[in-house]
Amino acid sequence: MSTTLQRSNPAAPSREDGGRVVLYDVPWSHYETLVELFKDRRSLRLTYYQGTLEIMSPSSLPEWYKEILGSLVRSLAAGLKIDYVAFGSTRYKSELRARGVEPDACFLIASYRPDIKWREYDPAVGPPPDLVIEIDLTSGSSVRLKTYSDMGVSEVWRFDGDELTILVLRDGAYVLTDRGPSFPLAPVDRLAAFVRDFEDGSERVWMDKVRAWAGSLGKGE
Amino acid sequence: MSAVADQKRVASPKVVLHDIDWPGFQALLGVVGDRSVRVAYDRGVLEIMTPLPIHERYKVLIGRIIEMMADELGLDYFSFGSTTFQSEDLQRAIEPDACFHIASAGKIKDWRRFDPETDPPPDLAVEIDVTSDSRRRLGIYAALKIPEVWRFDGEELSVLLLQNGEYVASASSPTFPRAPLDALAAFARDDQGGSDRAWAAAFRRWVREVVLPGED
Repeated sequence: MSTTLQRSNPAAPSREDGGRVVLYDVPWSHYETLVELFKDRRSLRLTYYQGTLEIMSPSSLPEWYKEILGSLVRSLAAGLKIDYVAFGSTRYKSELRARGVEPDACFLIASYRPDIKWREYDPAVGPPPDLVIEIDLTSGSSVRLKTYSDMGVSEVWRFDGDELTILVLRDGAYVLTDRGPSFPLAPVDRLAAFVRDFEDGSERVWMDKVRAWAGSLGKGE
Repeated sequence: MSAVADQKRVASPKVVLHDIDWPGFQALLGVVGDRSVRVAYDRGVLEIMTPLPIHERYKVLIGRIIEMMADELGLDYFSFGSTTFQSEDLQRAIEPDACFHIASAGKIKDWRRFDPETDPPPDLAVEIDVTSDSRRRLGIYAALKIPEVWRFDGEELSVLLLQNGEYVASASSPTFPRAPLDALAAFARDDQGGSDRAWAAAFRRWVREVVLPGED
């Protein structure tokens, strides 16, 4: 997927519309019907948690923010020599737990095992992601957070086009933190600065910078 | 009054989705269906709104105002509430806050067989507009050829009449020509402090004393 490097003003959404509605007491079958019907389309985002259905418009932020944050994770992992597997926008759906969500990007980091064959990874059965990335201009979705909490996702990075925040799961709720469990040596301020500093240059050069910085952390600098 | 004004500033939650085809729209309609949700569809763009309590309240009051006036003035009518009016040919659909067949009431032989796709559209639709932009919705009403739209924003009541495919503001309603719009708005807007029963009695009294004598 080619992405334009022209950086649009993060404060200005590409569409005036957007938003979300939340409906209650929705049967699981209705959620499944919609998921099936819209699975190959990007017209909407659906999140389901125990009868609550959230319908959101697609993120109004450019796709490439997702790419940048993904590259940030990969570069940190490379610099710190941390193993991981990336699962992109996999849909995590469980009828048993009556929940369903599709993160913008997700990673197995702490749960990574060399014997996990990622081709065979079944979201319904395999370990939940350790890190989920959420990109959105609108204010955060509590339905999505409830779903991630139920799944046991330890860490959520949230980017609203301007600010990057790290949320960590504590006693069933997400709280803001300075450093997440996936990269405990990397303070969020520094990560946010890297994202802001990504100009219309080469991603390779930027990733090298992040990797070098991450590598220096490991050496206790 | 301030509690009302405060609520006015909060928009009802809504989502606007693009690139939704007719089958996708029908599927979503099937899910949001009988809830307190208002849907508007215009050639691929779908708006779903969950009205706030204040919105629902105004809807009820304006709807009752219309019904009580019709009752007192002896006008026949059918009320279809927030029925979804849609046309696959035109790729448009809308759920008004309230709607009425008044002038065309005689054309409805059996309301149980009413088919929004083939029977005459309502003569009057009501839009409670506690957020500002209902331009897209007016475009849908125009395409569906609804002659008269009442808009109440919590403060003022305006009457819009379809002329040459567009809505134009009118100083009065052709359905109730003797009813001053500002007085109707005041009944919906101002908290009389009593129950709905007292409010309705006061309104009916006003219709008999003020509106009815103007009728021939």
